[in-house]
Amino acid sequence: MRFESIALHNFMRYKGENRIEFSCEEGKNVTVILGDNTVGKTTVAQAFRWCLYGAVLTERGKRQEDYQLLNSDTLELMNADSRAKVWVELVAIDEEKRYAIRREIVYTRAFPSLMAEEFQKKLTMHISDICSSQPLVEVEERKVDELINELFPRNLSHYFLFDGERWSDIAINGVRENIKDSVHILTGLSAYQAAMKHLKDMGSYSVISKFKKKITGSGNLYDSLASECQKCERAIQSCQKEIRNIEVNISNYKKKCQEVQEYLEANRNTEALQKQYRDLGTLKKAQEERCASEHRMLVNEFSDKAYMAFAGPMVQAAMELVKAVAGERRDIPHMRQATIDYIMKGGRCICGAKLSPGTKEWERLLEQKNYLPPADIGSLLGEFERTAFRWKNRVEDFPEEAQEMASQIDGCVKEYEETCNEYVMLGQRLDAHIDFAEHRNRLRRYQVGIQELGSQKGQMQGKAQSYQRQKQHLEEEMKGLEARNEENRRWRERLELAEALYKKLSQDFTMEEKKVFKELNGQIQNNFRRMFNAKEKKIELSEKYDIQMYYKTEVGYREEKNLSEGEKIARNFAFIVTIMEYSKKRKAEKNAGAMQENDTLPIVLDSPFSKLGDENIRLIAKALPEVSEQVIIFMLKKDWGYTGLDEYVGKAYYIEKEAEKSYATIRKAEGR
Amino acid sequence: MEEISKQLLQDMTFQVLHMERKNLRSKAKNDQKMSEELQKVIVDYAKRKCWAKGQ
Repeated sequence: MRFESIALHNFMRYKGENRIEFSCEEGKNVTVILGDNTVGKTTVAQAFRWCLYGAVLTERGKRQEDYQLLNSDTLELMNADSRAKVWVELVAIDEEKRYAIRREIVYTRAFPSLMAEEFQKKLTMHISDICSSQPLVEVEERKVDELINELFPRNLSHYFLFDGERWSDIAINGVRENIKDSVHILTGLSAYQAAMKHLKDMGSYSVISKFKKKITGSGNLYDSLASECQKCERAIQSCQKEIRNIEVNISNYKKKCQEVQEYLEANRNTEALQKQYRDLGTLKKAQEERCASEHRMLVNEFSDKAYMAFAGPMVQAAMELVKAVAGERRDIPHMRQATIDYIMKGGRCICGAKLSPGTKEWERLLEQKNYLPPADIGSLLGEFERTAFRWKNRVEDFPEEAQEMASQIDGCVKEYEETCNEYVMLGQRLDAHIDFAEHRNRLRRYQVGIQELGSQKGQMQGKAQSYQRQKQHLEEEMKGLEARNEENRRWRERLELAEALYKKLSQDFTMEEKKVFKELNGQIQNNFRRMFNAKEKKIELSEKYDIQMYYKTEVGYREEKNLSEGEKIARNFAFIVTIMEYSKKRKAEKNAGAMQENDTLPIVLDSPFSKLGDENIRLIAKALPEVSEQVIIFMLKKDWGYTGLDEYVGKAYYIEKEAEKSYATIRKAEGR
Repeated sequence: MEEISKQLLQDMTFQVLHMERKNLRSKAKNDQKMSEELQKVIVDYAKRKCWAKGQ
């Protein structure tokens, strides 16, 4: 299978129609599309995915709806009534047929806003014979997706439409890859499965069932057995229908589980951010309280001491004045003339002596009275001096202390504001409505659902087997009662032929499946070693076709699950190269007369080597044109030299974008 | 019943797989139609009467 051309119309960065024709020439099977960063290389790679599967590869945290497919320049020129089409047409060919796949969406504009709204969607596919001039055949609309999956298995799209920068380890559009089925398609094993289904596994419309109904018998016993047999058949079909329903439900549950798991994985950071947000909220509150408390302390301190500090210069001046004018003075603390008068009036001194006018004690008190306020201000000045001294002592460090407290408040406020800003920014980054607990509960519900359905399925399978045994027993009995005529003999022969064919297909399928698995597993290891010079590591396919990487240790190999981006890319390259090499080899065998026909895939690589070293680039690039029927590669002009692929290039294009224009154009390189 | 010729079974397998493959890549016929096609193939091979012991 090779791509012949791709045409894009108003698709994302590309305005109007742009077309690329790919090289299908043997020996020159590489088409290279070069461009600088951000000119639109990835857009063309995305166009492949969109045309085939109706989806673009999303970046982590983005949804399909976040990508506007209609070219924004075109959208800007639209008014409320106008419509614009976005379409991508891919033409692919195999040995016999040409397949033209076209996906189209008609948009209207939600005027005056710059929003495009889907009006109509269409997916068409036409098939024509390459060698004959027969007209194009249009594939039934409901079967187009199914056919695309047959030609380009979606579960392998991650590999053959390889995106070196947006590569995600988990899933494509939320669906984990079922590589095994895709490998069956590519290696031609799906034809075995289809044939077995039509021969026996599809119930009453199957070949074997139809043939059995042709065989007739006679007599009441035969009729009764035939009727019982039909009942068994109906019961088996009913069980199988039930099993299919259960399987659909299990598959839906699994899909939902994967969606939730992917969601939780994608939002693992968000969950951590939410915890950080809650912690920040607590911190913010504590800081707010601390700011208020520090502020209160400063205000109290200021109220307590500021007047003393501000009075300092005045008190100082007053003290100097007192000193200058008061001369010598007596300072009898806390005494007033009224105190002396009170003692004298009482007639007895505080020392116990009797007081009466004319006594020595009386005279002494009268003398002392002259040195007391209000007659003398010596004591008052003394009190003033003591207060002034006390004030001075109390506010000695006040300016520094106040300044320190103020700067501490400034610091607290600054920290608080920083926390507030961080809190707001985190709040913006978070969707506050995300409830991870609810998601985890849903995940548990689905897992329980899967278990319950699994048990129901087991019971139903047991029931179907029991009916099957009963039916076989009845058929054996009926065989003895069959009418001995030529017609029955012929149908019996045909039936046995159909059963023999079914048995052979079933055995061949099991054998081929094992063979394919074994050969792929051997080859993937060789390719991994060849392309990455891997000596201390190896990769292997599990039975479910998961690609596992092992590290060499002293006691053998140990599986490593935490792989670097480079290792994941190496692993995936080894896988896709192996698949391609294997399918190419099988195709050659088919030409040499092998039983089943298989397919090959082209490989479309977008910036494939961005995370690899120069040596690996050269080793991988060298392998690609040899193992793949066609290589389409999008890369930076400056990196092209490392690939050494010049000799394989059949066609080359440049993607260009003029600085003043918002859209890109594709130009064919001269001489290619 | 005589054993079915290995060659006949091989040819029939080849033809059936080819038909299935072709249909998988064109989706021209539904399951019922494909079952009818396979019935015709088997009836046709049965007519050839290529039955032989242990071939």
